[in-house]
Amino acid sequence: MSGEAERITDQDLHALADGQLGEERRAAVERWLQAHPEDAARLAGWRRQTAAIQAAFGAVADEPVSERLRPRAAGWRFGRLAAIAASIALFVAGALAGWIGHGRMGDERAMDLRLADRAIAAHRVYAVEVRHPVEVAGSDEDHLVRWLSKRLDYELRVPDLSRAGYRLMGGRLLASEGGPAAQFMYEDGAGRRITVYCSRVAQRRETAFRFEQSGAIGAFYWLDGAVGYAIIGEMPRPALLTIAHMVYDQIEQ
Amino acid sequence: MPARHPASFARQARPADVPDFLSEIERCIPSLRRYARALMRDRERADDLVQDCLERAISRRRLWRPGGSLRAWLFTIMHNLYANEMRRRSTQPGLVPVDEIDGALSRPADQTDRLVMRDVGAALDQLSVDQREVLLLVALEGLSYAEVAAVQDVPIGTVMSRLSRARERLGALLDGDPASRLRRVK
Repeated sequence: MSGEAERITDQDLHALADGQLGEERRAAVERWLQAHPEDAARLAGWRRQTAAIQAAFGAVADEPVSERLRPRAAGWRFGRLAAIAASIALFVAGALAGWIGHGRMGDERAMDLRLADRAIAAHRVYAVEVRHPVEVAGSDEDHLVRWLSKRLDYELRVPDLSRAGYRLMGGRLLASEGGPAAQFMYEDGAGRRITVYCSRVAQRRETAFRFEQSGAIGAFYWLDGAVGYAIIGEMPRPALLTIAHMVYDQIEQ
Repeated sequence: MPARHPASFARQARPADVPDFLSEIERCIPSLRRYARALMRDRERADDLVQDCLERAISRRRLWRPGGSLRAWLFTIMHNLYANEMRRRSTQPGLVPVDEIDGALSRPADQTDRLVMRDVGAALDQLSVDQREVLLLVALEGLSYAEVAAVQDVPIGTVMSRLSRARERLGALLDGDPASRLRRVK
């Protein structure tokens, strides 16, 4: 097809704007633009859009990449997807069990939720405390663990969350439904606090992670045999989940 | 029915035999993050998407055929994950935490930068997901139209019409401004 009948389409214009137009076509499109200023103006507008998009988001590529996004870093972990899949599977399983066994699952759920509620309540009370946030300071960790383990009659471990930037401030003994419970408090460099709550539970059971939100405070909680755990903090859910995984891994080792 | 223990999903073998594949993937991470951030405009959710994408890519590395564009393959995985997430969100809106929109750049952003970011971001939000994806893959990530077609698993003609509609809509939204803020971008 030769010169005068050559049709220039929008596709050509986009390709020129995006640097994807073949050399042989380029001259024809540029000729077309000289004769059609309205198309030239559209194309210029598209280029401005591209420049604006690049200006708005280009710098993201230069941000330091956090550990969880570096497959070879120590902080990398498999399992976010699997965790979501598992929680969906659990949801389905729960719904099924609810159908079949009415009630029982509901009671257990309600009991577990009370664990989360108590943990959140304790967080509310103590995380804002300036003078006496903890009973026993983290500097005396051995004593803290021995004392609380003895009171809960369960060998507790204090998770190390320094990889997430949180330092152990200490812990305290709390009263709970089934007897004593323990709260460990952590703080990051900016003074943000999270708490880890452990309590004996009446029935030995194991559950997957569950999430509970109360205002700005979020809680991941689960049951692991005789003890229930909850991780409480004011942060977006994914960040809290990362920490919950960290706690879980250390408790289970 | 017994509840599933967290351990069943918390631990999986880490592939140890693929250093080259991992290096290649790591080279793509900045670009994946940039794209995810522009797509979702929420740092945490965007990084979650990137992490999910990396996990899936590594677990399915045997499906990867060397010779093609790894970056385009990763974008394909991300596209599928994002589509799944959008579906989940539309069926379970109650479970979605509302995070703050991320407005911060890594370098200190001056007023003009913020203005542009918000305008462009807000305008992008007005596009359909398909249109937004096409525009960002082309304009921000420089993928070829054929690669974008492969990512979205649609014919090139569909990519072109999505691109065309995205630009038309964006133009109406942004150039409609009296001061035409886009002109201030270098």
